[in-house]
Amino acid sequence: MAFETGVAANYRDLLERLRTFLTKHPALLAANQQWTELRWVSDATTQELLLRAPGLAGADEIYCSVRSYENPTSGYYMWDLNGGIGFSPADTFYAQPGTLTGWLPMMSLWNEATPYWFVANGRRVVVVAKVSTLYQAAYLGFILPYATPGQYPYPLLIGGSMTGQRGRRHSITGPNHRHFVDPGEDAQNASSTATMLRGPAGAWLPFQNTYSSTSESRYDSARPVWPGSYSYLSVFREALDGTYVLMPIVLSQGNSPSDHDLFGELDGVYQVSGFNNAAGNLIQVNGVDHLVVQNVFRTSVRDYWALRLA
Amino acid sequence: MAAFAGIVAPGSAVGEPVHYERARGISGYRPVRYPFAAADSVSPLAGTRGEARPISEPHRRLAGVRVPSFADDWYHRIHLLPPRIDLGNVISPIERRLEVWNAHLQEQTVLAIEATGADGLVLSGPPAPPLAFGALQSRTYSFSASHRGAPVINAQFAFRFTGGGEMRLTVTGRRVVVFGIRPDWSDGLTERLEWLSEVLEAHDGSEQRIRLRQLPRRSFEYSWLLDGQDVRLLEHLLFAWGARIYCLPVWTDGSQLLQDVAAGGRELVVPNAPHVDYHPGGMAVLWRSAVENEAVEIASIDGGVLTLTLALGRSWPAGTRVLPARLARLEGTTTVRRVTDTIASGRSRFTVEDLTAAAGSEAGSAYRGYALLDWPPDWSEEIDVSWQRKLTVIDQGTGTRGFDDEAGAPQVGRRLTWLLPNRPHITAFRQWLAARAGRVHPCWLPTFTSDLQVSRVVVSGGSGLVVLNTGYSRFVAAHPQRRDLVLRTTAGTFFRRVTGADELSVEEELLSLDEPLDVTVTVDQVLQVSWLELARLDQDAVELFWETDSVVRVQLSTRTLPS
Repeated sequence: MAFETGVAANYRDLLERLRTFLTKHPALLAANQQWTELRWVSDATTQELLLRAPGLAGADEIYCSVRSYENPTSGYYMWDLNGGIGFSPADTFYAQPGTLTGWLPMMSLWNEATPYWFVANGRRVVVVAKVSTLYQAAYLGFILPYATPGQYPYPLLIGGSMTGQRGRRHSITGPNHRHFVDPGEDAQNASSTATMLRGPAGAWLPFQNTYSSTSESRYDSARPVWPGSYSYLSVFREALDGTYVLMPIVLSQGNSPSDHDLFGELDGVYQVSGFNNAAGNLIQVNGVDHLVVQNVFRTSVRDYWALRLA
Repeated sequence: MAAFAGIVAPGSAVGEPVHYERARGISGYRPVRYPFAAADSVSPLAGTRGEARPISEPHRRLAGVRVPSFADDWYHRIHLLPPRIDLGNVISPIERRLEVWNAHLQEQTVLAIEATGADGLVLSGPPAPPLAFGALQSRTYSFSASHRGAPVINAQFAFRFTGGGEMRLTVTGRRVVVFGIRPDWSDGLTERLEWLSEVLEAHDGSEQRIRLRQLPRRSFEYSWLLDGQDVRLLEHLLFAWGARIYCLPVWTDGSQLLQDVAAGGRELVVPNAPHVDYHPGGMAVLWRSAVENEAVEIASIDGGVLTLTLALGRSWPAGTRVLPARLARLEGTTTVRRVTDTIASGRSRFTVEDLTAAAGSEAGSAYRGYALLDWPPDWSEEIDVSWQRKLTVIDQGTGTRGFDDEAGAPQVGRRLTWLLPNRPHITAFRQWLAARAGRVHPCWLPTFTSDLQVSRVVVSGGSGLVVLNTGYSRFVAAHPQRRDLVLRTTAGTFFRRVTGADELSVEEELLSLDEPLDVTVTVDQVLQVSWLELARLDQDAVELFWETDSVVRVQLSTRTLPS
């Protein structure tokens, strides 16, 4: 699995580095898991990167895309994140086959030096970027579904750290500015969040743990991301011997109080306690480092997750 | 008066207030104008940015553990889907899909696929091994079974992977051929149901009964009379398939197609389906002749409609016979008597292999914790009653003989015949037989004879029954094996227990009942008074003799128990 960290000059440079990383990283090339670039457009104020990932065995075709744009007047520098089921050269970024429509998961970056972490294999890429003291993140690609490839052939997740209307500054502190591991949205049961999964039936399913009432509220949504939805997560600590416990992040759906679906887990992404912990720490599990990331600006115990750097 | 010089601070752009009044001590003034000094005129100071980004934070290294989750169970292994294939009855070529999924996150190579017992089975699709399965790669094999091959399918396909891993696919099923030789009804058809029970009898005649077999064995026996082509077909059926399992139509349960059914159809309308031997997962036969027939598998039954698992192979015209079918094995020696060079007769006996549980149900009401069979036997044959005693003879050969009546009471055996005239009766009787489970479960059985003669009116509320003197009070006196009776009258049927008996005179005796009658019954209203005996079957095997497909004759032996 390929991993890279560094400091990009700005949000545009970050996308160029991601492009190079996914298509040319030696570890991906060695495993024959390098991503194919379908479209690369770099205009004065926008960039478009459309990619196809090959899966682990080279038998999959996973379509993911990123588009950057800016508005210096309003002070936002965005990545729109998207995915689909194919590539049509004649169509625009937002009109590709099977893409998300409406509001998209996004990353709100800036035009300054940005430390970043990229982790990818043939199935998915996870991006963590540090903007000032905030963290932005994205997950593009397949989850590990609790199903066989025949039962659930295309478990594509497009996860970001912001959703809503296009163009939002990174300083926003609302519930729609949350990472895909514990996503939120302004309204309950919003049809778009920062975590969008292409479900077994082929429809895009939004996952949501919080919404805004008078302030950010946690609620028992129809499609929660576990364990972020768990109400006692805020008292979750490290183990008695001081080691930190990494829990899988599971996408679930409550059809009724007695009927639940579990779609699967995110690959290489885990919930971890923020107790005595801080973003940027490294947690070693079985000799593999895991980067601790905070949920945008949030620093309470429940707002941390870990990314396997391998 | 001192005179001071003053200034007016530049409070506004004008510098001098519009309204002011100079203190009298101030003799003069001069306005102060901005800037005060040359330095003040260096307008505004701009800051320069010291680039400290990205902001670095103190980092710590921590130890952690990862919680195992369902993904650890689901991934990191090879999945064969399905892991077991039950082909059921292979009566036409069958194709199934097998998915082999490498749920390891690393590549795995199949070195070999070893098949055992795969006669007539073909696994095809992906290239032959060695074959690399990429991480999380899934391949679909096509698995086909021909209807030619071993009669019982029990095959194993072992997928051997690098590193010693092995996954096994087990395939089971059976192949059947329709035994389409129809019975010669002039001899009827015998169906035999055989339970198995063990009866442990104590010295005093009480007993413990243990059911040893969950499902009764079932067999059919019938004669046939054939000519021409059917004889040759029979010989070849016996020659090739004699040791294997036949698909045997249940000849007693047939009906006819009312409308044509086309090839490819999946539904058969069989009006009598709810009353006969169809069951989901079982088979049915469409029959026109010994040669021209087709076995089909039943997926489900809804009223009189059978839904088939596979589409029909050919079309069948209205009038085609439809019969339920059982998997059966030919038993013993089959004798074919040649009447002429083209005519043959004979008899064959089949034991059923795919047994199903018949639902048990009683044929009458309950009395004192046991069901009651209130179903008079057929008097066209005599009822034999045997009186047996557990009598031990102690004979040393020299002195007088000693006798020990161990149970102190006789065991009364009866032989009863029933003629069941129609399907509902037959079904109810079969369910009653299933509830008996051979010798295991007793029930109340009236003697069906006129055992007592009522001699005086029984008034409502009266608990005494005056009958002609039969010596009951003298000899029997409410013995546990003979104290319950059924009183059939035109005013109703009553079941009562006799609690005591007194001899009134030489002609009459009085029986005390445990419960009075609630109506007045005159002597001429009484139809029959029979003793009720708690009885069980005295045989585990029951033969149903089918005179026609809706008339059955059954003969049962029973014996009494202490109640």
